[in-house]
Amino acid sequence: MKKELNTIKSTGKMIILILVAVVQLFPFFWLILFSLKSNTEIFDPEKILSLPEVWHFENYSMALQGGSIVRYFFNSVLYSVVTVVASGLLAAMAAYGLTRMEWKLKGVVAAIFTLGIMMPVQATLLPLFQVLDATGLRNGYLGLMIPYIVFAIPMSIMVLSSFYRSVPRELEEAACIDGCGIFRTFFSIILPIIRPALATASIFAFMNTWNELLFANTFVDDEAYRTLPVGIMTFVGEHSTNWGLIGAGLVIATIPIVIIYFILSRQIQTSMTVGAVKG
Amino acid sequence: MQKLYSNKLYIAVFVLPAFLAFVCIGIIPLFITGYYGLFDYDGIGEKTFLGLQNYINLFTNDPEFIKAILNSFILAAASLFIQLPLSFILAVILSKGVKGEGFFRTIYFVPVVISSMVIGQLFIRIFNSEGLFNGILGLVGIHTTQAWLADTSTAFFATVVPAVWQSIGYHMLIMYAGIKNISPDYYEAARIDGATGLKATMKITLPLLAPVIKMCVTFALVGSLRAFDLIYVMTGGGPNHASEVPATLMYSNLFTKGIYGYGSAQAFFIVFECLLFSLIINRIFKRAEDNASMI
Amino acid sequence: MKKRILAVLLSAAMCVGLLAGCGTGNKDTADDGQITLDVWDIWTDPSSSLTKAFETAVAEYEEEHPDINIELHGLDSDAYKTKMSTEFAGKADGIDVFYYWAPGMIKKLIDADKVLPIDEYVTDDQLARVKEGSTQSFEFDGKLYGLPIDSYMVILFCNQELFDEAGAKIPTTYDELLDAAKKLQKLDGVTPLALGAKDGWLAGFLYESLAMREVGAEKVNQVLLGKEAFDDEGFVSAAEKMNELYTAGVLGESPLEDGEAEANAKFLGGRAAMRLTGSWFASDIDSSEDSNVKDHIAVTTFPLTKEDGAVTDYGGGSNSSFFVNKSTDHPKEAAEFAAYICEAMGSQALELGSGFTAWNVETDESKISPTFVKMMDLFENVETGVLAWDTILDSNPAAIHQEACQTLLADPADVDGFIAEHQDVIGKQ
Repeated sequence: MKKELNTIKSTGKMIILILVAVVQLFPFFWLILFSLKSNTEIFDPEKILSLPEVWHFENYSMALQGGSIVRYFFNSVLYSVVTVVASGLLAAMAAYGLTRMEWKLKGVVAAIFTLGIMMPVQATLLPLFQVLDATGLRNGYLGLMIPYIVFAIPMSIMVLSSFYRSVPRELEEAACIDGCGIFRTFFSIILPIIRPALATASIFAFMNTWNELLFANTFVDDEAYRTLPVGIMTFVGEHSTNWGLIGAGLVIATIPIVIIYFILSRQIQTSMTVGAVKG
Repeated sequence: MQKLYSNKLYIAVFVLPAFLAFVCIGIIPLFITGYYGLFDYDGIGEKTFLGLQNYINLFTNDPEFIKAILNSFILAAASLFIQLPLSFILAVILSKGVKGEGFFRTIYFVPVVISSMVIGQLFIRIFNSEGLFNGILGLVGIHTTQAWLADTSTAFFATVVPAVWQSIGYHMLIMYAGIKNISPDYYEAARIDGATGLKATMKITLPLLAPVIKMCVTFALVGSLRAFDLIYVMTGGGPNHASEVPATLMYSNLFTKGIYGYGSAQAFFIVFECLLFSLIINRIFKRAEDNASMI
Repeated sequence: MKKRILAVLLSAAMCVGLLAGCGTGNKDTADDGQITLDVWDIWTDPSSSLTKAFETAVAEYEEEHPDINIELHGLDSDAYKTKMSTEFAGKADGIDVFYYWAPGMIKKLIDADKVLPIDEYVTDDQLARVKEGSTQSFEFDGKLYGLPIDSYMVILFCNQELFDEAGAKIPTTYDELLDAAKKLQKLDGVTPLALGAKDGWLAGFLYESLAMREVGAEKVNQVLLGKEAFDDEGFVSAAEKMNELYTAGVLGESPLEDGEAEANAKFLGGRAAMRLTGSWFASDIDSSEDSNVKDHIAVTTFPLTKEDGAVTDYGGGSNSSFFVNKSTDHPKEAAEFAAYICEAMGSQALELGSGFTAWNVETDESKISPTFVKMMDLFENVETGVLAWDTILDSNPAAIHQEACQTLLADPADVDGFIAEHQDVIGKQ
């Protein structure tokens, strides 16, 4: 009797999980349909679920035409990867200093970092532009990379700090007794332990960088350093736009993050189970 | 160890790089924004000093801004009381090890990685008068041609739905990671005491997850107070300012209407509003965390 | 583990070093006498013939002027406006020539002394090729800042097939418009007039058309330039008529639901019988592959509201050009290029379907798209134009005007409040 109840319960749970999965996947599925349709179909609200009448595969070849989208794609990869690595390292160190170390101004510095996750980026656009201009940083890749790295730090610090607090201090103390210096302790003991948290922070940093539009539009002058979302938006005409083409660009832009997320979340999964046993 | 942890040099090496970078690129522009808020400035021409007039006008002379703030409170409440509980439930179910755990975890996150422009365009169609939502209502016998996004009384709520839904996967992931980090020993001990299932979740998971939940609450709250993308795509704050939130209002002041000084004042205010709320959250959770450490 | 971290760190450091290297040393140096002009534009859509024409014209210029390099920077028009306003808050170093809208938006830059007058660089020959009267949007205090490219015209596009089906007649007066709409409403799933009023400027188009008919184009222009007060009775009756069109269902049940793209798609998909928009829409109609609407197009100007109204008044004119940044290092070259590209794009305007050329050129009519040919007949018979109000007014009044127009398309509409808001901002120019 109890066994039967359990099967019903777990089947019910499974059905709910699958239903939720369908809802969550719907926008991606819709985006793919969107990328293969013509404007008239895209803007007919009754055809939201229907398959394209004519399959506009040429949207993809047109999006890739001339190769600039490919270049933008690799630019975006570069911006995102460097942002993830640099902000991850800087934030891991700062969060370590903020949670483990003892100093007077700790609270103030932590509060200043919290300001970072509250800043409405639209408003800092002009002042930041002026700061970058004044410091001569608004050239090449760096002009966009530096703001990306810096704006990823506060959030990563927040994610990492809360993990540091759950890591028992015994490990570090043991290492200290073994004669490890603070840097060795940090790099060889702490960093591996916080890998799941780093992976979480990386996912967010990557995502925010990958989809960012406002900074990318404004801080980059030279097409050679452009990002993918900006490149996709140039498909928009002043009065007439081929929306299917934009859809194709967005599909090209979305698939990599899904893959990256898939890989990173595996990483979280495995390291997490290991970590839990250790803890 | 203690000695190492209070060594000034080490502290500087660990904290300063991030801190200096953040002050230069993040904080200085923020204060320049606050400074522009003191002027009548169109972003291009001459600035005229107004003192605190812009900041005073925010509250005495701008019903749209007040409305926008109230809307952002509604969004925040929806995030806290609908989005986070749903995320928590999903995280608990998934973390207990169901078949296809990794698969579901990946799928549930997909809406988060899709650009807000796509989600916005999708929901414009769903809430169209001839759209999917009215179609579903029709199936259950409610026939309507309500244009949800074009009606001042429903437009804002129709933007809240996707905003709340899109980030469920995001909070789920954070909570999931947190739950996975809880040592099974706790559950073992609880089981011996006779606490399983829902009881264990309430007694063990929830309190031990307090730091993670605090983080989610902060992100959800701050995210709501500075929400922009989805609402901008779906309604642009309209019709007739019905779905305006502070960031959309600010954006149109800065870049559409060219009243740069006033828009900057709004921006500066948003930051301090967020700061105030995160201090409150800190207070509330301080108590919860103290309780958790008793377990 | 340690090794891996080290490797990551090293590669990150190398990346940064490499990028720093890339970042510097790419300024337009002129060692070999080469001049580089940074030109900013909005023609980037790869599926548009305008983009190709623009790039070809630029390439031809570079060929004729071997010492000049043109560096093109294109963005979509929304991003472009934000980028320009951010750049011109400073010196806008990276901009020599830029596309911009006139007279309202460029005036703000001219007032801040950011734009170079081009009088001394434009030859009399070239000026003689410009159609008379089409430079007025680009003249301020007797100085010329840009040359026109083309003109647009606000057109009422009609789907003749749907009109025939409903037994309606293409409207020439306001009453006929109401009458036609009443008949068209009976067709299943058809909106009589798709306005796209979610985009404020399209709500503006309807009010502006009505006001032009009620008040007269000449008077409207005087009011918008601040030379006369916003107190004509016609402005009130125009607002009342706009609200009447909404309540009578001419604009569909909820006109604020659709923006430009949705309204265009509705018309092209045969789900709307009329569309009030700029002449640029013709190229969408003629190039649309999945619609047969293009074979049944009738075009007309906005219906008259009064018997003594002037048929020769129209909405439209010339409202954009290429301008020169005042702080450019190469004023002469930049101004000459700006003038060249305006003429190059302008003389092809009819063939490209972008607008009515502002230049005296012979155009082979067989190369012009059929819908455009129909509009040319209309354009020949008009005299006094009113540009879209948002391109004349300063940005804040323009936004307030558009928002107010949208309020006329919902219940309850407040006509008195509408007028008061306009009087508040338009008088203050």
